[in-house]
Amino acid sequence: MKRAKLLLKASRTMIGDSNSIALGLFTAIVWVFAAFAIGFITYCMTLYKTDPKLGQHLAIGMIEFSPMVIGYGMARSFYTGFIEVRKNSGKSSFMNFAMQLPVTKEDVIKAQFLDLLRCALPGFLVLCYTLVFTVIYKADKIILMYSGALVLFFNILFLLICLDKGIFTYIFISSKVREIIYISFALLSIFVISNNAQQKIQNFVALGAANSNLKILSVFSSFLVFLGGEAGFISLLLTVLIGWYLSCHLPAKIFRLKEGRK
Amino acid sequence: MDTILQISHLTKAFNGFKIDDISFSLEKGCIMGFVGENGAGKTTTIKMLLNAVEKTSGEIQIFGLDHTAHEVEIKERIGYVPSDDYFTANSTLDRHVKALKIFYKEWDDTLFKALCTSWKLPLSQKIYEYSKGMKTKAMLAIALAHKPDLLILDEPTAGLDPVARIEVLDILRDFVANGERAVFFSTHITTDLDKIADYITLIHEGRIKESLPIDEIEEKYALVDGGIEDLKGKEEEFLGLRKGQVKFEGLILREKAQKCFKENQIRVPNIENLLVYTIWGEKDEKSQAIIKSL
Repeated sequence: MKRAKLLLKASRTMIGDSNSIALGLFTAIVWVFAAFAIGFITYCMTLYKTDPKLGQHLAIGMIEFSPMVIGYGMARSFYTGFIEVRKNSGKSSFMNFAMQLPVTKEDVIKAQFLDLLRCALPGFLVLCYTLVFTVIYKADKIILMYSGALVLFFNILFLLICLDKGIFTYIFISSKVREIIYISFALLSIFVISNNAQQKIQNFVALGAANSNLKILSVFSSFLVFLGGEAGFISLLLTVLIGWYLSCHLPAKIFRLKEGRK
Repeated sequence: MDTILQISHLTKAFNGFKIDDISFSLEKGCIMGFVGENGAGKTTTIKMLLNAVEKTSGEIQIFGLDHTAHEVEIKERIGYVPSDDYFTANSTLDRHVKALKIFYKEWDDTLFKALCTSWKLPLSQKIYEYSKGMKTKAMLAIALAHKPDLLILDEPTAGLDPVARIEVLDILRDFVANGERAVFFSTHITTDLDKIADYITLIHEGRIKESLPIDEIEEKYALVDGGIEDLKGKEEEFLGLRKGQVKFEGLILREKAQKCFKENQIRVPNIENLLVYTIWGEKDEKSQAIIKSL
């Protein structure tokens, strides 16, 4: 793990000045968003006691804002990966850089996972805080659905990046698969972050909840309600563990098998 | 002499390409030139040495240690210069060095700065403003600054001007002078090998065609030329042959040359002759087969 941390430090050090300023600003904005979201949800919690209707109304608005923290935070991880692959026609310049260093491939994938955890942290905190809010204040169905949708969005993004940074980097030689993943990721981020999409999700969820004839929608909305409560914590934990397995443990196991080591 | 690099029966299968059972070794105090056409398998072999590409089978020992089991301690003693640079274009050399030196116990800042001054490499200039030659020099300075025992270079002189090339070759010669270190470098520029290489390993279509000390080229092979009438019934003896309307030139084993041709027709081949004719020989057979099939 020490070498993985060194790699993470090295990757930050070697990033160019203008990239460094841009990424620094990017990170700062994400953290400001995160702090704002946490502060606002705290305010909603206090309101919830005195005026549940207003509290709920504000909470919906706040939860709509939360994908920005999750999406933008993790987009940094996506952005650097995408730029590297596009500029180096499938090769990661960081991998070229790391090839010469006294580190193993396992160290490199651990470093990438640590980087992803760092990028996901603001979103993760906001999500946990939202889930605490829904659990403690027994939020109504629509808030549970929103927070469930957030958890699902986070889980999908996290696993996609883990697949990309882990298995796809080492198993597939072609960069085509990675590019498809990146494009899906970008589209998903844009879809979730955009306000109209939020409205669509709200309509969709409301439709699912209201119309029991559309069984799939009904099941899906129930699933979101389920994820928006206590189960959200477990799913987040499972996602991080599965992500670690897909992007660290499994590739490392494959390397060891390929190299004839136990 | 002690062996610093030992490759035995190394195989790597890709889609449509194979590094096929290659074996050779490099001793301390020596420089080995690794030559072959584009796509012959040079870079893949180098990446396998660094364990960046997994081998399918075979064994690689560096400093007497298995290259996967002791990857970290081996890489600490290796300096590597790739053919494509690993720099982030929008960054500076200074930042890259800061990122790199934390991995090496033996990093020598004084040596690095001396090399940068000597090669006129501005530390705080953006990498995208560097020429290809400057990037190669920068990578070489980094590779040398952590005091490696083995330098692995992938076409290091390709983008350099003649003066810089001579400088680099001198540095490589000095690097191995104490007899404890070695250089393994791939190149297309065979004149560089004539100047400094002690050994040459020729790879073609993933197979080692030849791996021998430079001195043995003269002992083993001969370059023969003459009129086309001298060639009658002897074509089969050549490893590679170029025929014109009236003259021919080809590479042949020295003992066969001495039996079949006059002394004044026999010359000493250089590395380029060996490279061109061993591969040319195969290509000639292939092209003839294609012509016959038409």
